[in-house]
Amino acid sequence: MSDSELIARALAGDRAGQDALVERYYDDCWRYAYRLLGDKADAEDAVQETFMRAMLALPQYREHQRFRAWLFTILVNQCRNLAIARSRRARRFLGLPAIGTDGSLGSVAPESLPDDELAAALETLDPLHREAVLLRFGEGLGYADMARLTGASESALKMRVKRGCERLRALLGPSVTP
Amino acid sequence: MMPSNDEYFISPDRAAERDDGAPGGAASIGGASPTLARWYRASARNNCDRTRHLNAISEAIASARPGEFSRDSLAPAIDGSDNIDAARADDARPTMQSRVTAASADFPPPAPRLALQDDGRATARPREFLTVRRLSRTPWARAAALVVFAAGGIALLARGHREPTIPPTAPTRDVGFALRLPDATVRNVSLAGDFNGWDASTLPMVRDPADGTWRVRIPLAPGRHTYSYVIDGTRWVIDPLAPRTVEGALGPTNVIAVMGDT
Repeated sequence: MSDSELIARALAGDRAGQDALVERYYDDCWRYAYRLLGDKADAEDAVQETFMRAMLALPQYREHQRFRAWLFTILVNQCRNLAIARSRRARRFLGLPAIGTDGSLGSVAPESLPDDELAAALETLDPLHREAVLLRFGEGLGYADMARLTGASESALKMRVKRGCERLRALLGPSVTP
Repeated sequence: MMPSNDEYFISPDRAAERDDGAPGGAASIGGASPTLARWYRASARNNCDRTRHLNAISEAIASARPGEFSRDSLAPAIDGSDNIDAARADDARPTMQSRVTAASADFPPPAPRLALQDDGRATARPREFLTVRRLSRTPWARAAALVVFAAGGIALLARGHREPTIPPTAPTRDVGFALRLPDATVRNVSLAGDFNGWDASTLPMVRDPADGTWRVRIPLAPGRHTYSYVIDGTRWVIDPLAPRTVEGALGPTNVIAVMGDT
């Protein structure tokens, strides 16, 4: 069943259609929220709030838009709120994660998997930089699509990706094999 | 030679090439580890209780109170339209998004680019800079401009340089802020912005028990103001549905323009 059909069913008050629509995009939303926030509870909050708002705002959805992009606009905002709130708390109470003198993450155990290193390195990025890096290299979006999603300019997004990459390279550089 | 960012954090399509065993010239992280794209795309299902969460989402949507999200209140998040006018007209209606209300918190309509003639034809409005440019072609206008410019310079030198100042008695406008929070466990909400030095303690909001909306009304000077809400003194949030957000030094903030007397 197409998105349009499911949306029509959801708009008509069919709960099964609404649930099917949620389930269809749940994995995409969960992946972005979990990778961005790195925390299960925060990701659950973001995804749930996103679907709640999306379903209740469904009458505002227009056919010419891609439903996934429309949904991600709401998701990106939700995740951004949570990430920034958490970042402010961390700055205020915990300080930044420890970074070793060799540029590695002090908190990462030597036997950690490289994927964990990558996740830990991403965690140290500014939330807006992390968002831009994940949208660019995770979701594989172009800068024009990213600009539509985030409301930021393409040049600002390019700068965020650049800064985020520089930071990741500094943290992960020694383990890179060309 | 250092790989480019695209090579370093292989884009998904290139990651797919590598999955097929094609010899890749791009870098990978940690040798055996996939790239950022592959790491991102790896299933995150192990980290979530999918069925339970889907059920919770379904219940949450079904139990949302009718009218809690009104069509008007959610529209700005979707189509990017300005929500301030709608908020002005409907301050009493509960909405999920925050609403800024003020008698003058709207924006002047854009000047029409076309002028409608008596015979029904539309003609382009003359552009002012063209008129100025035509005038500047005449010698007497150039001479007059030179005299005015010189007189202005002499006057400035005579008075000394002064920074432009905003009159201290600039009239303020009462602006209402409203944030609907269905979460009953929230203990306090405050407003912080450039108008109070981003101090989360000076502008507490008052909760309306009838609809769970937190409100505060403050006088603001004409101009552009940025603000956020602070929940329980620690959670800094912006209205995720408000289209008017700007990037601040510490992240995005909501923004409002207050117009002065015209």
